[in-house]
Amino acid sequence: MPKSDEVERLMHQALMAHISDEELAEYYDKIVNEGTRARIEAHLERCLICSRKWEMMKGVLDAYYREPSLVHLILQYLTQVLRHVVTKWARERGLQFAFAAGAKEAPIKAEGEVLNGALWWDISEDGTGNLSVKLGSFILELEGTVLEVGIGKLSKRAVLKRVPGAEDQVGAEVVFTPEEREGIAPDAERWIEVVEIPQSLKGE
Amino acid sequence: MSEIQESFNSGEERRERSIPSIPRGLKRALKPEEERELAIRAKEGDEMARENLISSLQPLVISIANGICEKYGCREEYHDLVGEGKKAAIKAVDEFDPDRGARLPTFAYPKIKGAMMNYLSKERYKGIHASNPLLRLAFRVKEANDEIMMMKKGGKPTPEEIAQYLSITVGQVEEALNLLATIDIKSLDEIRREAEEEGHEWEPPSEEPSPEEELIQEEEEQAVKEALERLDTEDREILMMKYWEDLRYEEIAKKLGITVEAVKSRLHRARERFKSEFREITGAKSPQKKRRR
Repeated sequence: MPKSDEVERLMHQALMAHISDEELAEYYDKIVNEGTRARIEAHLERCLICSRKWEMMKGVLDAYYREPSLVHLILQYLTQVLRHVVTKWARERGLQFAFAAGAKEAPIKAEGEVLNGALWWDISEDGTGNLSVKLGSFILELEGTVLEVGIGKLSKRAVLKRVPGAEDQVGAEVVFTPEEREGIAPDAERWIEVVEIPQSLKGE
Repeated sequence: MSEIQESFNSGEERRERSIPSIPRGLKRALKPEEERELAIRAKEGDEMARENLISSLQPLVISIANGICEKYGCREEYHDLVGEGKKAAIKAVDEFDPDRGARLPTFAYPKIKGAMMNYLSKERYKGIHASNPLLRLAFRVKEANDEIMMMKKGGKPTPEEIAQYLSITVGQVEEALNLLATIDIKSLDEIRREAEEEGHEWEPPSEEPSPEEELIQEEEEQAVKEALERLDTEDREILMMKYWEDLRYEEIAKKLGITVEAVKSRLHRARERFKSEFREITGAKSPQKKRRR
């Protein structure tokens, strides 16, 4: 049987116990009872780890319930993936990047797709030194999305538009010529960002 | 035909290969009543309803994968993570009980995240866990967090305090916190235990409780939770103010609008009721002596 000072120890022990994801999820949905709610809140007040975990969960779920548009997430993901692809390519073929027209190296090509081909990209450097970044998607809601592709200080914007002859797709292409890339270091950062989404996707 | 046009047209092949799992036009979460209706129909065997519920979770799967990849820079594993997340989402739909009051996405979140992190830890840390500096760092940060929590009266440890406690940089603490925010903390203990069993050296925290002690501790924690839940609001509230918020009698009195004497009296009664409930739950087993967590 707990003595009075043991009550303090037991209470403290319960307070110190980390909160599981399942408990946090139930807390998010407000389906925990009063005692559990109080314990979770007291623990979150004190534990940096669980409070960070809670912030992450709350952030994801709040965003989902507010705006679960797959299109937005794809835009976010597209940015990540393309940045990665371009960076990876730059890392592996960095020296070739600066090559001028007539280089003997094999043309560079990087392509990929995500979500079963709903989004795809094609990055290539042809024999004349033009670096081309092409993006395409069957998600027509993306029409009007403005992307910015950059290499170091050099950047260009492109708008996803319906593709002539392939009306069920939207696409864009950015080309960097060797002249434009002159003076850009081989290891300069490559990046692709979504800078604007169409009005139709905002606030839905 | 231009080169780009050819490229886009060649996407026909891609589309033929694609699985029509993209919920085109899904611009909002299912409303609670829609979700409930679909869940009931799915339980009755309506495959279309089940598919709709699974599709509705796809943005969540992608969002969780985005968050994890943002923290870990794991874009190479992204497709696999999404795949694992989808499997977990299907399982969540099948296990979801609309009568429990939870929303499907919230119910699915821990399962989806857990599946992704399991995959990631297997892919990244299996076999190298004992020597993986981030895991070791995360474990140390977790220990420091717990130690400072024990010592600190009110408020949570800050990254700066943990950094100072461990003599590491705040950046290292943040890196470890990123990992800790996405994994089940118990799994960290398991990874460390496995590493030790495999003979890898892993600096254990001093006075670490034995597995038996840990078990007793868990049972006690559970009993305390249950005992607290059995108390009425007034008793629970005053115990929490005293032991969890570390408020002084005067502060509790002010908060409740009663005298200090009344606080002492009410606290005494609350303790007695708590002890009685605890005794009933644990079968009158004596609580263990104080152990270090």
